[in-house]
Amino acid sequence: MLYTKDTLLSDVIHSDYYMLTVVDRYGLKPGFGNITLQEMSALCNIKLEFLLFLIELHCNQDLISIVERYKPSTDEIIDYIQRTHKQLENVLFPYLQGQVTELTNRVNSEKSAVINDFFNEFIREYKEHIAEENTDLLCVTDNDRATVSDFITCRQCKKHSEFSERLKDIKQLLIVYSDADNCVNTMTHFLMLLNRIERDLSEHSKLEDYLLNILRDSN
Amino acid sequence: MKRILITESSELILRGIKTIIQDLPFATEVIVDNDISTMQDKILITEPDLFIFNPGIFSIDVYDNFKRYFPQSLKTIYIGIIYSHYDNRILSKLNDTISIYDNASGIIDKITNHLMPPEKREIKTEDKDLLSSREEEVLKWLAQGLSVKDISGKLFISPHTVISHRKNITRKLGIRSVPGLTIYAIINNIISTKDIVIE
Repeated sequence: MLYTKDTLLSDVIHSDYYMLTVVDRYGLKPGFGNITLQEMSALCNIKLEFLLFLIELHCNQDLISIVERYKPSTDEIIDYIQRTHKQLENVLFPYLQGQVTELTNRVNSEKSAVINDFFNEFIREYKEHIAEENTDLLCVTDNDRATVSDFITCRQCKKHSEFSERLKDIKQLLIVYSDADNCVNTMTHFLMLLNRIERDLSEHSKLEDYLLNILRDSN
Repeated sequence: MKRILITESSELILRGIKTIIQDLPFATEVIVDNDISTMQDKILITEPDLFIFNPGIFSIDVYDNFKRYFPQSLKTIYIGIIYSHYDNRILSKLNDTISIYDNASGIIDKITNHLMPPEKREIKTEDKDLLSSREEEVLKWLAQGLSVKDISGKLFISPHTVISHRKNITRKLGIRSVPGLTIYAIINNIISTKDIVIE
């Protein structure tokens, strides 16, 4: 699908429902009306070019050619990553925690304890990682940004890989080794949620890895 | 044994790819060759299952005559390492691409799906769930967070053997991370929660 200033936001959402998560980062909730991308851009105070970049990024996923085409600024990417961090901390992680509780109330107690511990630890470490990034990567001044080094870039990129690996593993454990006889619907719903979170974190990490690399290279 | 030929002049990217390939769930032989003048012969001689290369090293003429330069009869999978923008004329000739922004597990999945598509994966009954007693022993220590070196010292085996057991465990269980292995070990009574030392 070709996206232009006249494309309806609802058409973008219909082409990929994940975009609901993206527009939510700019405060738009379902019921936003029959607005075009240009109208959304004015409403949310976001440059149309950057909005098109985000849509292409999430729908087409070929980061390098999209960056080449839209040339988003570092500040715009940082602003978007900060919005994503807020959404993860304030919306997604509390929701995930609630769903973990619902699931673990239904599986046998021994397994529920380890599943619970896994997610508590995962969320705690991810929040720590966000806090580190807010200091290392998303800091306000150019001087601060000049400190993004090879070491920081490698450490954060490695963390992204580890988080992705852990989510894949928990899905594998739940799909293959869990005992879901009493909670098939809850388990199915939970696995679909994990799949969505995995995509969310993976696309977020990809953009952050890109940002880390351009900040490091500009030093 | 799958043979992988790599052409990449950046030492950093080359080492990164070689490190990631070590985690593939099957045995591999890696050949590195950066001499593009003899690449066509190299492919014919080595018959790689996978050729990972930087698409920028070949001229556009090579892509326009791709079948002439790279024999299709060998069934080699061509994967480009992408770290800048490439023309569609180039990308359309490749079987797939990996971006330098892809994470390790994504790259492993991509390569695995090409070299061992799900429908061709043999699931031997003995492989499916059952770990050997030695693998279980290695898993017990991995799940408790011990390093390869520590485990090799505890079990009096070489680090290389520990790595080989770890590969088999990962392949059989489909689980790669230490937290994932820990949960598997607990729910299968290989270790108890009391064995886990919280730092």
